[in-house]
Amino acid sequence: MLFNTIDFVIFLIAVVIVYYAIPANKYRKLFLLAASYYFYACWNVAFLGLLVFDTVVAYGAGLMMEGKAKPSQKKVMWPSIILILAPLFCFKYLNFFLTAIHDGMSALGIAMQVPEFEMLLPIGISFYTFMSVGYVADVYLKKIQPEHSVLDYFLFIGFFPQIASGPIGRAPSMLPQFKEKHPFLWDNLAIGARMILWGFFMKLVVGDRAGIYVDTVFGNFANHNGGSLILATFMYTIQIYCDFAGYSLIAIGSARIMGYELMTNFRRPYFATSVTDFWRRWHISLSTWFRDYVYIPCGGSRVGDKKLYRNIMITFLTSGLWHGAAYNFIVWGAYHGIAQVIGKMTLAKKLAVWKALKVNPEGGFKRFVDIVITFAIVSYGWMIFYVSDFRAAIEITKGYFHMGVPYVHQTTLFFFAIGFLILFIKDFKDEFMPDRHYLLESKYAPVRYFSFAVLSVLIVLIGVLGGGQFIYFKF
Amino acid sequence: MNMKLNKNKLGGALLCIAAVIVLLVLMDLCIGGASAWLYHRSKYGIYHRQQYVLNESNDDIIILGSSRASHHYVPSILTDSLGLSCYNAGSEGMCIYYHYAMLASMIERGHCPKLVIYDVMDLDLMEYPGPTFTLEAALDRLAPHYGEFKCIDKLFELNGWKEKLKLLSMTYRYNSKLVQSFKCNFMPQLEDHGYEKVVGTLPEKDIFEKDEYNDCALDSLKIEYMHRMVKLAQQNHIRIFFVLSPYYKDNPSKALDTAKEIARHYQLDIVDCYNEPEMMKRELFRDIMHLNDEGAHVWTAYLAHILKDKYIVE
Repeated sequence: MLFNTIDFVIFLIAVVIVYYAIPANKYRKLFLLAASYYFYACWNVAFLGLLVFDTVVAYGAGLMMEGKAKPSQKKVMWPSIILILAPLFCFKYLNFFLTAIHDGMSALGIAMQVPEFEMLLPIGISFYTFMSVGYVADVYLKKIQPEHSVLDYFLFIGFFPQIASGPIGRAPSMLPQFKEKHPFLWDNLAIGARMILWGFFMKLVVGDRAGIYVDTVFGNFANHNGGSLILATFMYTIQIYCDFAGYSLIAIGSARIMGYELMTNFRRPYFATSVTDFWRRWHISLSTWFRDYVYIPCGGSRVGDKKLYRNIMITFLTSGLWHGAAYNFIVWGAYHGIAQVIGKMTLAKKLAVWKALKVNPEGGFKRFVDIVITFAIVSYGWMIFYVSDFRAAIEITKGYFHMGVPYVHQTTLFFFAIGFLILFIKDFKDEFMPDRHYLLESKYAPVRYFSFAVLSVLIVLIGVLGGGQFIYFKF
Repeated sequence: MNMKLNKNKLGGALLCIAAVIVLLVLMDLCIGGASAWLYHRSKYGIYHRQQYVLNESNDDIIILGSSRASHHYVPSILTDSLGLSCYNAGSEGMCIYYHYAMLASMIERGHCPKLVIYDVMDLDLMEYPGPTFTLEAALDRLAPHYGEFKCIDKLFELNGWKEKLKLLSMTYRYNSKLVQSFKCNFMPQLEDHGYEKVVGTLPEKDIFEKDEYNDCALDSLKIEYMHRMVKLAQQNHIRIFFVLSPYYKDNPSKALDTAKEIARHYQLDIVDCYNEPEMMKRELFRDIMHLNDEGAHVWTAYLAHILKDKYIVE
C-alpha cells in the first residue's frame, strides 16, 4: 500500500477514526500494531516474519543486557546486532558481495563460479534494521532503559507511518510517546493534514512530474545533448528531494494526526551552504544515526585532521552502501565524503579568498555563492546515484559539454515549472522568513481552509496520479 | 453566552472538517468546470478528434489504431478512391481498450460505419509496463467522457470502485490535461480528417533488420477486448479489416500471431503489409515505426487499391 494511493488515504482515515474511538490506550496500541502489521503485510505477508524476527531479537537483547556489567552487555550486544543485520545482509548485500568477490577474482585471473540468489528486497528492511540496531546500542550506551512492554516495543519498530521508508525513529524519543494516551487535538489533526497535503504536493506535482523528464533523458542519454542532460540532472535533484521529503512529510503528518511526533527528516537541504551543511538538512534521521553509531564511535571530530578525514570517509562509504548494494552507491558515498574532506581542508584558504575579494564572509552574497556551489556539487552526486552503470555516469559527464537546446516536453516542463515555483517560494520563505505565516499557516482559519482546498484541487489537476513508487522504497 | 468553537470536541472538529469539505467541493466544481469547458470547446488536435469521433462522426470508414494509424492513413485518399467518407481515429499511445471504446461509443449513439480499418499493433495484445498502451492510459484519455457512454463507463468499472470514487471529482477527469487543452484551443494544427502528418526521414543508423521472435507475455484482458471489438462490429454488420501497416523492421511476435489468429477465427480480412517490399524504402519512413507524410500517401494509395479490390468489388 503506497502512501500516494487512494487505498492509503482510506486506510489512514479508517485507522484514525477507530484509534480515537477506542477509550483505553492499551487497546489503542493493540489496534495500531494490528493496523501497522496489516499495512506492512499488504506488500508481502512473508516479509512480516523478518520484521518480527528483528523486533524480537532487539527486544530480547535489551532485556538480556539489563542490569549487567559492560563486558557482559557486550557479549549480548554484538551477537544481537549481527543477528539483526543478518536478514539485511542476505536480502540486500549477499549477491553484491558474491559478485564483488567474483569480479575481484576475475581481475586476478582466477576463474570461479559464484551462485546468484533471486531475492526480493523486503520493503523498509534498511530502516527497521537500523532502528533495531540503534535501540540495542542505546541500551548499551545507557541512553535508554530496556523496554519491558512487548506492545510498546513492537509498535516502536512496526509503527506504520515510518515502517516503509522512515524517518528512522529513535527509542529515547519514540518509546515514551507510546506510554501516554493522546487525546484528540484539533491542532494535531490540522498540522498533520497540512503536512500530508504538502507531502502529496511535493511527491505528485513536483517529484513525479520531474521523474517523467528525467527517465526520458537519462534512459536514453546517448541521444541527448548537454542542455537536456544538465536539465535532467537538475530535475532529478529536485525529484529525489520531493520524492523523499514528500514521503517523510506524509509519514510524519500521519503520525501527528494520532498525536505522535516523528523526527523531522528534511530541512530545506538545497539551501545548504556546504556539503557538511547539506547532510545536516538531508535525511536527518539517517545522518544523525550514522553520526551517533558510526562517526562518533570512530572518534568523531575530536581527533587530529587525518583521523577526522578517515572518520568522514568511513561514515559516508557506509552511508553509500546503506543506500544500495551497487558500486555507484559506494562511489556516491565516497564522492560526498571527499567533498566534505576537501571542504574542510580548504576552509581557511576559501575564507582568505573572500577577504581578498573584500566580500563579507558572513554576508548574503557569499551565502548565495555557497548555496549555488553546494547545489551543483550535490546535483552531480545525484546523477551518479541515479545511473546504475558507472560507465553511464562517465558518458553523461562527457555529454554535459555537448551543449545544445534542451529537449522540451511542453506538458511535463510546464507542470513541473508551476510546482517547482510554488515549492521554491515555500522553502525560501521557511528558510529566510521563518516567522512569517501565510496561506496554509495563516492565523486566519478561513484563509487556511481556503488554501487547503486550493492546494488539494491543484494536486488533482496537475499531479501525476498514477501511484508511482517512492524512490527510497528500494533502499 | 460563549460562542467560541471548541475544535478539540467532536462537534467543533466535525464542523471545521465539514467547512473544509464544502470548500473542497466548491473548488473542485469551479476548477473542474473550467477544465471541462476548455476541453469541450477544443478546436484542434487530439481532444478535438476524440470528441468528433465520439459525438459527431457519421463517416463511412473509421480508422482505428495507435500513432501508427494516425500517421499512416490519409482519409482523403481513401475517400477519393472508395467514394466513402473516412475519418482517422488513430491516437498516440492508445491500445485496444481505446479503439474498442471509440467504436462502441459510435455504435451506442446510433452510427455504424460501413468499414473499420484497424491498424493492429503488438502492444494491442502484449502486457506493457509503461505509461502508454495500457488500460490506465485509455481511461485517462476517456475520463472527460465518463458518464456519457455506457461502454466507456464499463471500461472504468474494470478498475473497481476506487476509480469510481476518484471520478466523483470533476477535476480528476481533467488531470494533466490543461496544457493539451490550451493547445487544442489556441494552437491550430494541420490535419486531414484526423490524419497527422509527420516529416523527416529515417536516420542513416537505422538499417532494416530482423528481430528475434518476441515470445512476449500476452495480456488476457487485451485479448478479450479484441474479441469484443470484433464481435461488436460483426453484430452491427460492420466490416472490419485487420491491417498490419509497414514497419521498417522484421519484428515477429507472439502478439501479432495471436491477432492474426483472432482475425482468422472470425473470418476477417487481414491485410499484412508489415514488411511489404514495395514500402521498405528509407525515404518513406520517419523512424522505424512510423511512415512520414510521403510514406503515408504512398501507403494509403496502396491500401486503397487493395480495399477497392476486396470491398467495392464484393
